[in-house]
Amino acid sequence: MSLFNKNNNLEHLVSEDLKLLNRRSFLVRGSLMVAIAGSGVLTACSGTHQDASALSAGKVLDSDQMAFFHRAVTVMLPTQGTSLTPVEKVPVLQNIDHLLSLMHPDIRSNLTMALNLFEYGGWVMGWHFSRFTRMNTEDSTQYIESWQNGHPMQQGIVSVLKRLVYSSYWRDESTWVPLQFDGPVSDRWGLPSLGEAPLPEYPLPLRETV
Amino acid sequence: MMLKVIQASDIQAQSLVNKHLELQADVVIVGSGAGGSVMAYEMAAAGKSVILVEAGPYVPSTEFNEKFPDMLERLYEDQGGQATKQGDLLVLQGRCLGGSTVVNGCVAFRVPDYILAQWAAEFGLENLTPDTLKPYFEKVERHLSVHTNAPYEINTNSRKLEQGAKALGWSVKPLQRNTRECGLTGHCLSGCKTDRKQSMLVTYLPWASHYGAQIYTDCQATEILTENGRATGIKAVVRHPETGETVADMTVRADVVVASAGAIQTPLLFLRSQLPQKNAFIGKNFACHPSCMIVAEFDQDIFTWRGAMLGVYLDEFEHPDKGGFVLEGGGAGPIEIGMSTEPGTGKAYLDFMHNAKNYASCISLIHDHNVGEIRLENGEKQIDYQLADRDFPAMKQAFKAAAKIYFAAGAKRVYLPTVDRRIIESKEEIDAKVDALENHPFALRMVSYHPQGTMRMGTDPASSVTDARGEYHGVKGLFVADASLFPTSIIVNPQMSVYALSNYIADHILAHGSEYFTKA
Repeated sequence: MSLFNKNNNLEHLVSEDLKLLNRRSFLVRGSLMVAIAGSGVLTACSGTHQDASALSAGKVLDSDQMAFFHRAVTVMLPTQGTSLTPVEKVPVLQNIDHLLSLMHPDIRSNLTMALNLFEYGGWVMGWHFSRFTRMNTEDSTQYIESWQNGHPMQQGIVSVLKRLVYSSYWRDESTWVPLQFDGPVSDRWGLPSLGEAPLPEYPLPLRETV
Repeated sequence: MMLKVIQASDIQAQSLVNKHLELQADVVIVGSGAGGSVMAYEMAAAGKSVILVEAGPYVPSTEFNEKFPDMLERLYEDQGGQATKQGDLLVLQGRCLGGSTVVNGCVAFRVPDYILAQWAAEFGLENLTPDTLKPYFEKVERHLSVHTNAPYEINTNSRKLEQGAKALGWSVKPLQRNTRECGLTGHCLSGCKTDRKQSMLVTYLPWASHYGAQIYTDCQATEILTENGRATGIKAVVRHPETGETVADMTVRADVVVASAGAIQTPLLFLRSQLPQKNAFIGKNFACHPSCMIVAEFDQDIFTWRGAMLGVYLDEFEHPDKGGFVLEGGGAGPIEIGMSTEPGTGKAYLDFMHNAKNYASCISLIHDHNVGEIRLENGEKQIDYQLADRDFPAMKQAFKAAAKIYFAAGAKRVYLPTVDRRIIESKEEIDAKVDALENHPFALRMVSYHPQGTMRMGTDPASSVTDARGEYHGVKGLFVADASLFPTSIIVNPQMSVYALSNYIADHILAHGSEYFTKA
């Protein structure tokens, strides 16, 4: 799940990526400026499009970060009106918090910084000077897809964000039923363990070939 | 039950002076995967005292719950999050007793003859001929119940690959796998709950234990010890598997040290050690053997997750002169499918997932060049790898072949494993859609299951880390026995080649015992 490994801070990555950059250089330079300017971690998520003020902090995510992910989950998993398990019935945010808690703190810090870049990128990328969490659903979707088709760094950030959201939804067993995914089957099928394999005959005369 | 394991909790229960453990053996082995387990068994069965240390925990198969996310966290390196420096390629390796053999897909190949010929020509490995290795392959294949998939082990998913390949006149074959009475659960990557996969956990490790090998888990080797140009043992630290708390330090004195921690951890151990001659190629020449999953949508139900996980493979383009790639009919659960491609955001994504039962999937493996590096930076591992431009054509050719196969089998559309949205709606679109791909970070959704090549074998110390029998240049009695020895990637799944090579190296050590062991 790690986007950026330890000892590989985002600024270094961006500077490396800038070497590869051509026509989208303005966007990434602008995004970098926003990241640097946006001190703190997703600090301005209050007043998001959907009120998520009731969200409590998790193991590693504070309530503002929870609000960011809440918005991402809402946009990425619009289960209402589908036969899929309603996203409200799955502890997606708790699962995201759990996945992030497994990361090395340095990696988590870099990832948070990258997501900060995503949150504020709209300010300089022509999205009505709006942060991601304040966009309406249509704009949010298009914003995500613009990153998906953007510079490799943008692709990386949004790809990790999606991975976090999707895996945190699909890991819940209740989401498997509508897909007809069987999940664990050995116990249900009554498959017995075969245990350890029998000890082979020894020795086999290979040694002289070496 | 033959397997006996000494875990951190067992050591914690002892009243150790200064929390230090001093042990002695003829052979100490680092790592319990394909290389280390075979080495442990061969040495122990030959009467040598053996200590094997494994950094990961012992997780008995009764605790495998067939839920991939849970098992990623319990059985895999970095809890399933091990990635390259750039973060665009996951490197999935087992980190548990039995290593990656516990969580692999059971596919069993011998190293191809043309690869051995290349190793002989370019690296002087003339000892590793097909004839020399044949009895080793035969032995480990017999020990591990390797067999060609029977018809019942080829599921609907693999049948689609087979059907399309045959329609195009391409060669496609049943895979060989190391299973006994496969339960067809499709949960190989979560460990085999019913012990049908013949991993090290149910074969060589219990057998080594039977012959007296002592197996320590939760025990990470930190340094190789040498004196006067000879290996003398290792230092290690025992940590509680859940809290990470140090339980004890350990020193193991031994005549022979074998590093079998895999192509990432083995070079790191060497880099952390004070060796008399630090070979400049340690950690270099890393080949990650990148794998992508290509998904195709059909009208009919496929249920790619049902049945044996891997059924058939396309070998038409296996030889490097024909492309240097294989496609394996590989099943996947919803989590893997959901992250295999980019169908769009929001409703488009949910529509894609809604049809999960209609997807067939296959895995591409290419013969990538050794362009990566494993190194230490501020004491932490760094995995540097970016798919080389010269390898990108093989990747694209693999995608084209998969798309052609699936359309020939009646697919409605094919999803490319890219980070941006690339869907092929008809066979006429294949070339244009694939040719438009550019090689850059985050272009593809790649996973490495088979890291190789960071301690390459060779006869010339100026271009290799070990000699032709896995012995480190310049230190007597210090061996490597894992996939890091491979001078090049081998295109196919490597587990059998590691077993056979480890057995070969074990036989070499035993055949020349007077050079290595202080007692007969």
